[in-house]
Amino acid sequence: MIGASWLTLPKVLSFLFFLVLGVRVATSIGVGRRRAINILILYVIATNSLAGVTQWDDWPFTNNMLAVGSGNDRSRVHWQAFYGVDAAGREWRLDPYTWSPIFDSVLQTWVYMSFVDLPTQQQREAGLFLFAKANAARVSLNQGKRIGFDRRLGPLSCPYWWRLPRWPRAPAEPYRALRFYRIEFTVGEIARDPTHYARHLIAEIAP
Amino acid sequence: MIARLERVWERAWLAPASARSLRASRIILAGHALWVVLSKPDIPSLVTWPDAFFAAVPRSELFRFGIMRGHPVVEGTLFALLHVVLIAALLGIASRTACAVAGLLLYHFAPFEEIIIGMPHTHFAGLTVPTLALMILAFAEQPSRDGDVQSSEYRWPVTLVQLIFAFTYLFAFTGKLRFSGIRWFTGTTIRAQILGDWGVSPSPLGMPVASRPFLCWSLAIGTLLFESLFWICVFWVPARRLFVPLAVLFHFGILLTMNVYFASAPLLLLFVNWDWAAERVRQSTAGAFRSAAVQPQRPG
Repeated sequence: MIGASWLTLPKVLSFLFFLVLGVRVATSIGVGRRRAINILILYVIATNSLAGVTQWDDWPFTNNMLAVGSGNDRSRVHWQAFYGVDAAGREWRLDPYTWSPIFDSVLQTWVYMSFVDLPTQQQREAGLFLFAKANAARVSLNQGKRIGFDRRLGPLSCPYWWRLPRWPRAPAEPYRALRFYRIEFTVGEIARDPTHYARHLIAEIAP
Repeated sequence: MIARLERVWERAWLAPASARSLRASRIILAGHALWVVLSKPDIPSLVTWPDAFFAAVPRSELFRFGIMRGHPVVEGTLFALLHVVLIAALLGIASRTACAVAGLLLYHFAPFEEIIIGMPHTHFAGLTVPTLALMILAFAEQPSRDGDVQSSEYRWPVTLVQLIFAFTYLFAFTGKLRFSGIRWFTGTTIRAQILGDWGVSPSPLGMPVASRPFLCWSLAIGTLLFESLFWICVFWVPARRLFVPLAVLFHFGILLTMNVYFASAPLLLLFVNWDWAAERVRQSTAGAFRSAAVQPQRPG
């Protein structure tokens, strides 16, 4: 489970209370208005600070958590990589915008957190859906069309916050399978030898 | 003591400010949100994804953001409406209503990108500050069309929005303290962070920086000072001359060493003194008129 559902109600209420205080500011006049403004300001500061100091997220009153872990040369890093497999058995690295509106790194986290725990039938349902998306993106890329975040604004678009390498080359013939790999490396080793990865197949999906 | 605190509070939040700064904030926030939304045209289609992707998401979380799975037409219509109200807010057409509707729709759509994994980085995707800020602008008084008009009503919304933006850095700092303590701010951590990202997404300067302890330590101490102190420039205007260029440098540095792009970086424009900028434009225009006035008339 991603987040405890009992926390949803206080989170909803914190946002609703913000709206109530804001409407009170918008509708108040005279002496009471300044008091309404002060209360709104204090509430926004207090709610944001509570999220920030405790690091309990209450989006949009958010904890702004990013890169909080410390590490050293012995730190082990793992991530997921997605490949399409053509009829000849060649693997094609999939572009990170293939899964739009979900970005590649979000899908990586989902595969790591949720996919492996799903019942077999749901794994297959999800896998076939992703397989279809991979082939749809393949067709667009092969025809030189833009996909994902680039679709409307091209190079002027706001990229996803983590800029993963793009893989715009795609085969003309359909993928026959989709492969999920888990990639692992140790920070100190990758500094000495950038090819020092371990790669394990997590799943292969074929219709 | 209480009286002194009241004076400080009044000066920070309710001292007269120009209508121009409030209008500029609305244009920056709506323009930025529109840019992010235009960059993510597939967002409404998430509601058509199979159940398996939502298996770990509590139904209450979908309810919290009003996400209507299986209703792509409704979501598509709301997404189109979001574009319309952001354009209206940008242009100042029915701006309070436009800001209110845009804020509510951003609250609905911003979580789409990460709802299936519990929204760990939604705050970093560029729509968090506009969601709260456009609401605040909707609550605030409509600014006068004359940019030079001064009112205490034009100060607090701008300052509050700037503070919410500054929290991005301050709470990134407290998060590091909370989970790793002050030891986060060491050259060793910076090296591990850079190399950890480099192994997934090689960046142009990642390896050269990670292999130089002096640079890693400089970045660690720089991050400590920058993230913990940026909020000062919300209340002390001269500090902006240091912190805003530092923020630009900070984000370029992270982009070049870690391939991490801070989508809200354009919102640093909220810290520009727009009265000063308008005055400069006015002076240069007046200067151009004056020099045109002394030019000899061309014979007809």
